[in-house]
Amino acid sequence: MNNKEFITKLAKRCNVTVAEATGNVDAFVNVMTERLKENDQLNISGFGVLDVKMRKERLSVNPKTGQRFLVPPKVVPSFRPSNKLKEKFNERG
Amino acid sequence: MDAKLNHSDLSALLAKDAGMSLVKAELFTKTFFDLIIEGLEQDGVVKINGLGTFKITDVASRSSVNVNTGEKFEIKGHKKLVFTPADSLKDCVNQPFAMFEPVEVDETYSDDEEDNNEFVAEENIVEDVVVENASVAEIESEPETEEITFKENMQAGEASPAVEETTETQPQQAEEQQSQETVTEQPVEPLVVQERPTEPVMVHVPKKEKKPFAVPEKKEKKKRTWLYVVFAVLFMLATLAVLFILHIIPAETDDVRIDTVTRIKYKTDAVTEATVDATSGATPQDKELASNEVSLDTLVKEVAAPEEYRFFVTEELAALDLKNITPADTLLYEMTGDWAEHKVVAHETLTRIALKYYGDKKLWPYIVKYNSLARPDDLCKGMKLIIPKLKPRN
Repeated sequence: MNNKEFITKLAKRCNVTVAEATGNVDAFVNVMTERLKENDQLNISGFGVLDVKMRKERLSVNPKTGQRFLVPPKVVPSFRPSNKLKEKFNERG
Repeated sequence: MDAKLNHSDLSALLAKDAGMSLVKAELFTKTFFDLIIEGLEQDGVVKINGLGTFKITDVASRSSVNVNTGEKFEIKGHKKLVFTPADSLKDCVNQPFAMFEPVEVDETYSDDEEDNNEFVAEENIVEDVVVENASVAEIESEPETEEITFKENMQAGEASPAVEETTETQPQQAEEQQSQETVTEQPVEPLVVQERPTEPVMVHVPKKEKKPFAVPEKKEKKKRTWLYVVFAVLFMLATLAVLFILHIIPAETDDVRIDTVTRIKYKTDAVTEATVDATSGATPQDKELASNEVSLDTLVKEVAAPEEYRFFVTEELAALDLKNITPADTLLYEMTGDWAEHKVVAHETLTRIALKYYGDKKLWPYIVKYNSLARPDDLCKGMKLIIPKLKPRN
């Protein structure tokens, strides 16, 4: 399911126009992005947890050239599905 | 700041941002996540622009070991929900660290730290650490600044939006300031940086940065060991030289000194004896043997005062010009009985003894002959020698 399909379905469910749904989705994504940027944790019950993780800096070696790089630290967004969701897909598999 | 937001919080925020009613917003968010799950069930993939992709992936079965029992068992293959954040989300979240690029580290620094020489003075270590910090400061300063900003973000939170805005709107300025701070901090408290392994950012860098500098350190140590060896050898040579000077040379120089002194004394003695002779009315010293025999004995008795050391000199010797004496002169005398008994002291040689009694070191063979010494080179301390009385041959 791509973005377009998703928005179309969402508009249908919420009884709003596609344009409206697109705007809402953008607004919601922005809200979540802003919260994640503040290192907040988003707990969505029944779905999972969206949060950010700290990645430490590290030395990496290019195996071909043998060059060594110091990779800077970074913050990455991460998602942990809830147990409910995990089990759901695991059972299906 | 590290707040935990739940479904309703998000809905409230959305309602505020998008100008929706709270009920509507709540319904919207609920539908949003429900639809994601639904989409996953349907296609296994849901992509939302600006957020990322949720995808169900297969995990292959693998064997593992029970930690408690050590038994091997198989983890069966299953499906797993993974989330790949969109680039925009990644960039947004990583904004505080956005200015950093991977830095190439000099590869000449290898990690053969094991065979470090143990021969290190404390000072060396301190110096190395300082140098290390100075050079590493540039590399380390960046993560350091980031840590600071990150922490500021974490701690100040919403309470200090002003600070954050400044860092966001003027990242360049803030960065400069922070880097300056850290630069000034580094040389003053270099160890503080390294002692923070528990801090989130700084864990591995100090350790790994140490390795590169271990090699030059090692080289220095090697150089130093060589220096120490050279110094030790020089010191040994110096001590040997000093010992040589103290023990061997003095013996010879003393001989020379005594030689010259005694010559002088000898001459003065000769003069005094001559005067004594003159005053006592004896015949002056010459080659007439008959009168000499008597006068010699009397002279010797007169002059042999034990406390003040005197050189017993026969007039015949006195008469000879010492400077013209050759080794052949030693055959000019014959031994005429005991004259004195001498006890050899430490570091004494036959020449010295000869010098002492006859005033001429060349006359030592007479002592050897008279005492019938088997090994004239080997005088022992405490040995008793009989000094013969010498009479010139005609």
